[in-house]
Amino acid sequence: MYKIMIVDDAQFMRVRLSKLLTGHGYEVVEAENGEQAVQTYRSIKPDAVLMDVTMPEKDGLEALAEIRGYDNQAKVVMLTALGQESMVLQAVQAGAKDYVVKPFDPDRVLRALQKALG
Amino acid sequence: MENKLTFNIEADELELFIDEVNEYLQVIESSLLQLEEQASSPETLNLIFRAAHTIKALAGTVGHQRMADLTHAMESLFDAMRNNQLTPTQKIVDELFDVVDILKILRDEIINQQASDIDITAVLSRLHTLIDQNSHKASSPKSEVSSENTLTPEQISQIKKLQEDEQSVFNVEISTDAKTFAPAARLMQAAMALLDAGQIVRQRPTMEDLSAGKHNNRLEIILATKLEGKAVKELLADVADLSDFQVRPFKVEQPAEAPPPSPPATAPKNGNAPVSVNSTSKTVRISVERLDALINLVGELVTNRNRLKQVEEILRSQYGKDETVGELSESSTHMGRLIDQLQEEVMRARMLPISHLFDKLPRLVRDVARTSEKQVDLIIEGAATELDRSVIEVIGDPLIHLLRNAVDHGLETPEQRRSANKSETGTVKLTAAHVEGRVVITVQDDGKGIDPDRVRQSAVKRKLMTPERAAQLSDEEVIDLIFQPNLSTAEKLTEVSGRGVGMDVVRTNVERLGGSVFVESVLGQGTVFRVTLPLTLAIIETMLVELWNTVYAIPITGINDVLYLSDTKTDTISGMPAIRWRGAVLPLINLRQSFADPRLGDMPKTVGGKQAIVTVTWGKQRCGLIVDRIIGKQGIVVKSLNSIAGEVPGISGCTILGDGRVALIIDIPGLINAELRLRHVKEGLKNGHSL
Ligand SMILES: [Mg+2]
Repeated sequence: MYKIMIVDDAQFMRVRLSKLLTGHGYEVVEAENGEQAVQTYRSIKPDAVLMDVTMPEKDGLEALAEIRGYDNQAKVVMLTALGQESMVLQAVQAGAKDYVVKPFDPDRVLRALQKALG
Repeated sequence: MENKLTFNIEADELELFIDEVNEYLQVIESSLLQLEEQASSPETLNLIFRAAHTIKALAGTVGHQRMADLTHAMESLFDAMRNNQLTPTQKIVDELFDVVDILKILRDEIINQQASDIDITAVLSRLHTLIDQNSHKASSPKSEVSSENTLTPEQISQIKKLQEDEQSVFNVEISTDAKTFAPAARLMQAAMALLDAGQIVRQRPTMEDLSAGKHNNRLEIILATKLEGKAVKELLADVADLSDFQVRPFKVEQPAEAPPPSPPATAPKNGNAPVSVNSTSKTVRISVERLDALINLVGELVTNRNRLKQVEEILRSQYGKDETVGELSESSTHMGRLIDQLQEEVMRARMLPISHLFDKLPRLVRDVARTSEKQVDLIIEGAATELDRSVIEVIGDPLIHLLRNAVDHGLETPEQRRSANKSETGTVKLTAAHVEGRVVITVQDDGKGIDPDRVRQSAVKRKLMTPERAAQLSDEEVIDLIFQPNLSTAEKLTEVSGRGVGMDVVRTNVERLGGSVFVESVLGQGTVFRVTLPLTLAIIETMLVELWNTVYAIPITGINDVLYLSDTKTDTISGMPAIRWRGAVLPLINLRQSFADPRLGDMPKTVGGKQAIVTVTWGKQRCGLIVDRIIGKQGIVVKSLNSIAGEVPGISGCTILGDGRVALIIDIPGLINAELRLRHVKEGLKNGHSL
């Protein structure tokens, strides 16, 4: 069973994603900001990460960089939104495997994860 | 219904969703206030940007497009502000406050699943105009992509070497749809995928150009890889939003001198991300239902423990100092203590800081101040004071009324204040604190104060009392009359205070919660309202009494004394049964009559035990309740506060007792209202004074 870390500061988004993923047989861990994401990644080592961009404490780009710095095989899919084109670009450049635009299509999230997991 | 709306949200998700939206709306509102007072910092702008951004995502996720559009526009404005491209003028802040109000209406559409009549087109276009005027978007210099199609000699020899190394070299051409979200990032993603698969000999546009948005939605890469063409295609098929891609074996066409080789992909520049010390709070949200379920379970425990105590007493009376009974008693006492602690912990989990309520108030004060043309400094103290959410939920309206009143009627206009040698800006202070197991909230203004003589005149004019009686009352008593129905001292009903509840409703509601509200005022200096509330409404201390073999619980907070009927002398005063007690005349209410149920008509009239009078107070109104028997004091868990309240006058809820019987909780204000007001009407207010 793949373990996926969901990172988003909005609890509703975490609940939504969590429902979706557990419904498709994934195990889920959650983090509510970039700092928690980095800590959790180190301690739990999930198989893939769904990472929000705009968050307090540490944003998704910083967290992505730190996670990739710690594990250059880290599979991170960014959760992004309209207006964040340039950040997405930076994220992809920094090693994000894929990105999904909010409001996300559940199929797209699942497909992005499957591809990231290989 | 034709204006019915459906959203992509489950019933069990709604509460969390709304809570979260409210939280962010609150952030926007308080940050806007800071912007308005020019007290904002870069952090404020980040916070407010993030709040708008998050609401956008939330709204989009449940499919509320208009709400998402509006917050998207808002987010762009805040983004322009944080990049110093836009100054938050008063006009813009006002507009944004209006947007927050519209967002609340849109939020309610989700709650009600019903379309409102709000039309956002106008405001949306105003926001877009602001954005267009102020944010100077970097125009994307798309034409600068080099169309040079030649390879350098170095590249050609590199390709030859790679081919000798049994690598295949492909010419990959990729295109995206211009309308896709972040096309450059998709192209970048494709480039990164190919980079993982082998070696990129040449890339156009380069990674740098892509980063700078220089692309024509096309990407061309010469890739050397050990993979087969089919595998390369599969890699690209994994990249979303590509409108087309071709993978063809590379053929050297024409060697020539050409632009310098592409620089390698730039390293991500994230070297010095500030490492903030982790201060994440370990909190979990729990739904109110779950907390209530816990409360109920604890309530059952309390109930059972009371039952256990009864059994223990019976055993003790039967077996006296038996060792086993002693052990039972010890263990039951210990369990009792544990249950008390458990109850306290669960109650604590229901506690919220009153900031949940206070945070909404600066906006309110601002709006009232504007409408009534006052200048106000609002000072809030003790926002961290915690109290049960049941109290927070119901205290909002009375508090809002007091605050509105303080600004609208309490404070003078800047001109009036100047001529009274006061600073033009008035102060309204809102405080909360725990005092002796209760919460005290004060609303204080430094305005004109309440003129007792004006209240006297008003009371006489409205026939609440005779001029003689009005003259007899002390100033303090007179000022308290503002809590009487139909007594408004405001010279004219303004738009702000003329609607909604009056002071009488404030007092009624506060007292219904087992609290009290008093006012002190000094003419010319200001007024302070002091509201005292219980910490919780879920568990209350009561006196259990019996009537017709039914148990009733009278909240302790309203009780003054308990006396036996036989120890007092009942008179008829002003046509009502009453007793004289401690120098006052207390009208009596016979609860047997109040709660007479026609179905109980044949119940025996005589009961065991001694009839008693419980004297109770509601505001300044005191009276005695005649009951059949006093059972004793007991803390009870209030059940179904709402399902019963209002249906039976004088009853606010029920509880389950240790022996499984149901006890009805008496609503003292409701009872007094129902009983005494009725009598007043009958009596025609003979003496022209209230009790
Ligand atoms: Mg976010």
